[in-house]
Amino acid sequence: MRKEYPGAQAPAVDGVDLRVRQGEMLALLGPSGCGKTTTLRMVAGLVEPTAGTITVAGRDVTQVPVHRRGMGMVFQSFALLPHLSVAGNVAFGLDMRKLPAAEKKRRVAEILDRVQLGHLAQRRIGQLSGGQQQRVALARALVVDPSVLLLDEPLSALDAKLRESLRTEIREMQLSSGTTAVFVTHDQDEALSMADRVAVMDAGRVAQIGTPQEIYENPADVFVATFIGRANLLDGVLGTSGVDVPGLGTLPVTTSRPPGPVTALLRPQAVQLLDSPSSQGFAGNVRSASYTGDQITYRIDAAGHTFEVDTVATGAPLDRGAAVRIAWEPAAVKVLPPRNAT
Amino acid sequence: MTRTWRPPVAWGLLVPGLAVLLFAYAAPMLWVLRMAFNRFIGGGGIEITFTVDSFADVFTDPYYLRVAWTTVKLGLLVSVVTVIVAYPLSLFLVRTTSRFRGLLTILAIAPMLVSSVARTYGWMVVLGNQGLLNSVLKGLGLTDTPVQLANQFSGVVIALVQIFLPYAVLAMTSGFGRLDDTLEQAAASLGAGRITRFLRVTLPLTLPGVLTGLLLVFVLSISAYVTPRLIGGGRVFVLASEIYDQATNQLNWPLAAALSLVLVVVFGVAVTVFGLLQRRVERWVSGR
Repeated sequence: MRKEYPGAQAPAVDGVDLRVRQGEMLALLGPSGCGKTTTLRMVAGLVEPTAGTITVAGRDVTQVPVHRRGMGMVFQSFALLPHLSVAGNVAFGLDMRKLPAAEKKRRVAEILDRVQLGHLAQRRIGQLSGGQQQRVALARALVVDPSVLLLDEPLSALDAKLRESLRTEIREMQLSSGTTAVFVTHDQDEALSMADRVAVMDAGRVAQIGTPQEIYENPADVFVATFIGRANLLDGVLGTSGVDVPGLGTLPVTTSRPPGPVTALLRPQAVQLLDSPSSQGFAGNVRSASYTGDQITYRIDAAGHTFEVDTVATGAPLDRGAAVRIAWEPAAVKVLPPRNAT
Repeated sequence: MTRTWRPPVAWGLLVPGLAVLLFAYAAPMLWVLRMAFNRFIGGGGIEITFTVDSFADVFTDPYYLRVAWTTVKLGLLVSVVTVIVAYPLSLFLVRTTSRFRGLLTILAIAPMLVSSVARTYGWMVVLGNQGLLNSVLKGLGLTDTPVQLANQFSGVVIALVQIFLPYAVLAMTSGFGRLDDTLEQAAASLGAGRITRFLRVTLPLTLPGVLTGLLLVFVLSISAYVTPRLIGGGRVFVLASEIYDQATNQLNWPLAAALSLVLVVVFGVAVTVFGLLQRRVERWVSGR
């Protein structure tokens, strides 16, 4: 699929080229205004692309109006029809397909059971909780056997606890129905935990596409590295023996990048806190500690830099100012293009 | 159960409003009610008594029954036609993303700035036998004899529809306020074409606004006096003009009072019926 969409000043979607595989779930991840929702709406047919084409299973659907695309869409606000019951909403798409009444009834009952709402079929929409409304929206989109399931920030209207359980539920529904799905989110956890592949978008372009693991471990640039997870970034110059970082000396790295200015990435979990009487690594002082039960995240000043370091919590956190040493495996350092030089 | 104590001063704030209502509304209404039971003794004389003669007149004289029916028919026809004409306009004003939306709304309700008397005279000029409309029709060779619109029920309907259109637009645009675009988009994504979307989503969800518009225009129409009087040209009789005639020309105040009460009852029935309907529809489209 390929879409271009010049907006007012800058194009909202500027040459996005994505290929979604049969049966996979692709996440479009990015900050607000990056063009992910516009991209999804173009696929749905709700926004007309200025240039480019949308192809589903070899058929060009760019000129096909929304109601003939046969896709299912779950909206951020759920967009349930308030004047219809739960069953009425779910049956809407089947009504449009002029299914015989018995067949319709069977499929509505079946899908409502799958989302555990069978007992609420006759309820009015206003009587449902947010999570239940979400499930009705999902059932309504899936019951028509869509060629593609599109989800626009499907969980952002719900509270944190519910979000996590529904993540699994949506993913399981998608896997069991084998539907190809594209979903838009600004929540990196959601994208990493639900999707087969993630397309990270920035300013109307795809910054990187890959499996959650690829994106997390080998981000293409500083934007992706900081958007997905937390990162320690060290600016330096790549030479023959490693990256020369002011204050830290030359860090050995493995990279195929040509020599020159680079930014080195070090994930907080990759940094180890050493017992003080050691000569390895770099000496530093605890600047602050944040305790979250299973884990303590320290901010440590060392060699003119501030490092974020994740440690497994074993007892009380170290005091502010405590002397520590930090070290990391050379392989943990990823070399990225220098920041501010795109 | 404990109740919040309200200082007397809070009730004191209601006094001016209540006083106005009492003297300007309740007292005259009671006076009209009392007057309807007096006896008219010709030549402007009124006997203070207690009789139902005037009501007997109203309900037995086929003339008054016809006038009452004409009034209700006018109200129904004008409200339905006005709402049908105002609906697309209101929907457009609510939906448009044009930056001229504010201006367009003002334009749509601008006719309210001109008094309905002036607009009625305007319509007389347009609808008359020598009027603009007939001159154009004649000029185009579409007709030889003028189309009778002035001094006709149809002319009154046309004029009232135009006069009440802004009210309907105002009532409906505020009633359509919560129309959510994504609902139509959802319907479209499920396979509903333009017409189905309108019939199964937009229309049901705009019904509360439609009902408000209908009620408002109905009430305005059945109490309209100037337009039926002037455009009706002494051939279209409605309750409002009949009341005026009885009170000022015949000096038959008891009969005028009785006719007024009939009009009040029509109001009451309309408001009650629409109120009940509105409640049901509101509940239906709110999803509760």
